[in-house]
Amino acid sequence: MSSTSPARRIAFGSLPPLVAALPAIVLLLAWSDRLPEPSATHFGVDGTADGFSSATTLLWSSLGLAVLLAAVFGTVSAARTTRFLLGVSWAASVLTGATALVVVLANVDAVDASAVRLSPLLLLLALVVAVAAGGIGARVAPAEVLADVPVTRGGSLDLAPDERVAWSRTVTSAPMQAIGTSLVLAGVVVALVVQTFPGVIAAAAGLLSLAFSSSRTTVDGRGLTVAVGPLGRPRWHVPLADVGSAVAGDVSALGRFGGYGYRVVPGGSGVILRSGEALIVTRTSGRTFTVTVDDAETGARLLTGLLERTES
Amino acid sequence: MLIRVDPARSTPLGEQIAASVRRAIADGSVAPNERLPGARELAASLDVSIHTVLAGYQQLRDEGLIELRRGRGAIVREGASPGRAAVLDLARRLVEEARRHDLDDEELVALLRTAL
Repeated sequence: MSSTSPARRIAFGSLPPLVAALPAIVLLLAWSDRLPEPSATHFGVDGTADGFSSATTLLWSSLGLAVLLAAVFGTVSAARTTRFLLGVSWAASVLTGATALVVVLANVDAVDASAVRLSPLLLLLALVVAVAAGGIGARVAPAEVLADVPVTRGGSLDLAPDERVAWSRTVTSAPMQAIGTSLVLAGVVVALVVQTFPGVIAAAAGLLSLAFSSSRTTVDGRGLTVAVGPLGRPRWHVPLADVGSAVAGDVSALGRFGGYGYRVVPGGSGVILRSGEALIVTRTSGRTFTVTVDDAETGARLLTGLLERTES
Repeated sequence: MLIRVDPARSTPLGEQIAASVRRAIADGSVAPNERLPGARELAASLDVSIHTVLAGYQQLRDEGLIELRRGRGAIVREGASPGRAAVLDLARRLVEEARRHDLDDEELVALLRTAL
């Protein structure tokens, strides 16, 4: 796994507030002679202006807010960045930037600030755009920015020329078991007390969640195999020939993969049943395959040992 | 759980599998009530016959470390504590070592008695 440069993480956290504030700031500077003095800067729910300050104050407060947000998100992102954090950063940035923008647009060329009106619909629109931007922000970050695996462990296992080795571990997902059990219980209660059909659906969803709440990860001469559930289906297989490198590291289920189960993220995919120790395989194609498993270091060392034996 | 077998060694492959599982129970990488890999799967993993794996699993059952249930596979027994597995592992290695040094079985048993 490539190591993440803190500078890139900081940039991803701190640039959105600055970029989002830019349109309002540019307009404030360009239109300084077209804005009423004072300008309307606060509005009631009916859209009429009820607070006023000078355009200069508006400029400085927009700039100050952007710098403050940039500092906060940059600092938080310095150690590790998550999709959630990036989403919040983008949404907050766009919301403050867009709000400042609509305020400037409402004031421009007004003769009397008290007559300035700002439709609440515009603010609603800014909110919608902000939420959309948050969604985009959470999606677009490249894997190396999100990678929260600054420390990985690896090495290789010494293998005799003809030795055959299999490493296998089972993992049970506590969150998925909890969700599954409560869905089954709630489903049964709903089916008996309220209505049959929705209850049965909920119980079935719970059983499905339970069925996928455990996995067996195997490393052997054929490569890496992850089999999920009591039936061992579905399963994922990375042939040894496709394995470029293997390390162990700690991953965050919600932060890095946005949830539990089979997850596809930019740069790779993973079978994620919990946060914590994981075996991270980089395929020869450059994409990663991650599986959360205890003692992943032994699995990684075995894969590396098998690769080295094939090469020699 | 790391299972290593080497055909180059004189120990039968089934016993090598049993020894690996014993050590895995001893070091805690497989816990009581946990299921071992299915015999068919493990045979495919290690590229050995299923009978070899079953021979190893039967040895572990005879030692009281695992239970073999039809249809449910091999499960580490409740009472198979890491300590117990470690003692069994030592016992096997003691026997192996004694044989390597041409100690006959009665001598070894006598030796054990004096140590008790």
